Amino acid sequence: MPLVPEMPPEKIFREDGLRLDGRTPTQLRDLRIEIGVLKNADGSAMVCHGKNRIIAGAYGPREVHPRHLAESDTGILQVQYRMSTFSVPERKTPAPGRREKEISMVVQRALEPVLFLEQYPNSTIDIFIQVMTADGGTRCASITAAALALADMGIPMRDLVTGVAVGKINGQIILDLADKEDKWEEGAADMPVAVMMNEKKITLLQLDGQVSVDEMEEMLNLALEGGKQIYEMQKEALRQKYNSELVGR
Amino acid sequence: MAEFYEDDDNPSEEPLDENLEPEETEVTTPEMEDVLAGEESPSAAPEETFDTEESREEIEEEEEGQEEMEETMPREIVVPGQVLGQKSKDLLSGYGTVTAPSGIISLYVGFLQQRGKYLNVIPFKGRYIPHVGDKVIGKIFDKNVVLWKIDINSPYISILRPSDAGDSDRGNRRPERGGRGGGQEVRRRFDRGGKKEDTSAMNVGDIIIAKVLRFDRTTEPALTTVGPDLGLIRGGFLIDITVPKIPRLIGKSGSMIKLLNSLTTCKIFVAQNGVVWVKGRKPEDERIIIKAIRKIESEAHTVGLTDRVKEFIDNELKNLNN
Repeated sequence: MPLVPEMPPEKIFREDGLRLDGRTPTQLRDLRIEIGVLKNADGSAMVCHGKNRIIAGAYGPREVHPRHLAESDTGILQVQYRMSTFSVPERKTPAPGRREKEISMVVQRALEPVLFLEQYPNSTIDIFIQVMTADGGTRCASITAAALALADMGIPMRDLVTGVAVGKINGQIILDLADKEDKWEEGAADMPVAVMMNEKKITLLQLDGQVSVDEMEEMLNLALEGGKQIYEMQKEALRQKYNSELVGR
Repeated sequence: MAEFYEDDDNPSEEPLDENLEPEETEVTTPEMEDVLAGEESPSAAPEETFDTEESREEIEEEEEGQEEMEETMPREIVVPGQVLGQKSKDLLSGYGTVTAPSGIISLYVGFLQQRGKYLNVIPFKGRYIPHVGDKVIGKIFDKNVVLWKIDINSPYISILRPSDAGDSDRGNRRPERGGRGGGQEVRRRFDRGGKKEDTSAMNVGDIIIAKVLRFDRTTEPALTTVGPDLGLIRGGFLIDITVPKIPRLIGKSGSMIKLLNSLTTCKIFVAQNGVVWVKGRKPEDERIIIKAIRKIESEAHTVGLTDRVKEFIDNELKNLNN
């Protein structure tokens, strides 16, 4: 048991209709992006999405170890998503659990469509994602960060991938769920989406909960709307990094 | 998804390479010849391999005046997925771009550049992918009886077999350069009655200049050390630079590398895999050259770099003499 048990909030909407953290239902949390935070990685990015702090490092293309994982006709993308022991209120065991393996897999599949892996047969691109602080929606923030790390690495990509979550609480559809909203159980649904914004192609769609077809459509549109804002910030962060690097000298 | 990109010319072999790499250069002194040979060949090699590109090169030569103008224009930073324009008769996807339903899109974070009717994106970073004929600098990290394994800074481990290291053209050997030419090492052993086809000539940790002999999607790159400039290297410094900036270090028609060679006593070999070998008669000169290369790397995007590098080296040399 933790020393101070985390109590669920009594209400999920404030009396003025805003959410617990003061956002409107269709508002994103604050997003800050830094590129090139890891010196020894080929490409890296840090995404601070609300209270989430996520660092992604990308390496390669490089030799595959162990060798039997190599594909002779295409390169492979390997993703490791890990949560730090201190990233959540109660200590998380450092051993990779079921959830981490799942998220590693979905992040990998969300990113694969933008890469030209077939150009790098017998090699691997490795992405390591470390969650320093978690506050709901880490898989979406991880995808956002990992796509930027790949872009920073300098391998060809069709587009950036943007992760954004939408959900439903008490029948109300909301954008970008925080941890407490994620855990709310009344009339709730949670849908992480990853999308290639340029061509509006969805590379990840998971749904936890129950929604009607109309609600689903509304949620998807909201996700694209939120994704667009994040996408612009991603592009801006990449430009800024190289702008400052080049002008600074 | 693949069908959307069908009309894209193979982006990795697009005009950027030949645009930025030097053409054949006139060499002034025999001393410089060795060193410069290394820089000339990268441009020569792709030409041999893709003879269809000859016609395109002619077109670009005509447009040279236009290029000069474009160099002075501020360049735009683009990001992956950014739509650069719509494909038309006068606008085609060049290096680092691809044609998608939404238009010509960028594949890299880099500078946008238009050469003739091709839209190119020059990436800021990248990894070396071997091409047949490239000269590379690598380190032997493993060997067995029949082959050496060499790290050439690419996704693939490359191999060198003694038969590809043997019997170089002896006329090209130069004792003052450490008797380079792997051929010599193997040959000498052979002359002494040793076996030619074994790997005792070079050891783990040795640095070699080699040429990519064979490489395709199915086999690991095979190297050779037979040929001028190739073989073991001793002394000097090795510098890593980012691969997309190599053309700038070489300069137009090798102008930058000629400049570096002419101002100091150093010999400089730029390998295509992002490794530069600097060897000078005086350590002070080597230090200046290393600084200059770092300067070129960090200011690769700027205009009038050759002049500034000349000024920089002149200043450094003056400080040294005072």
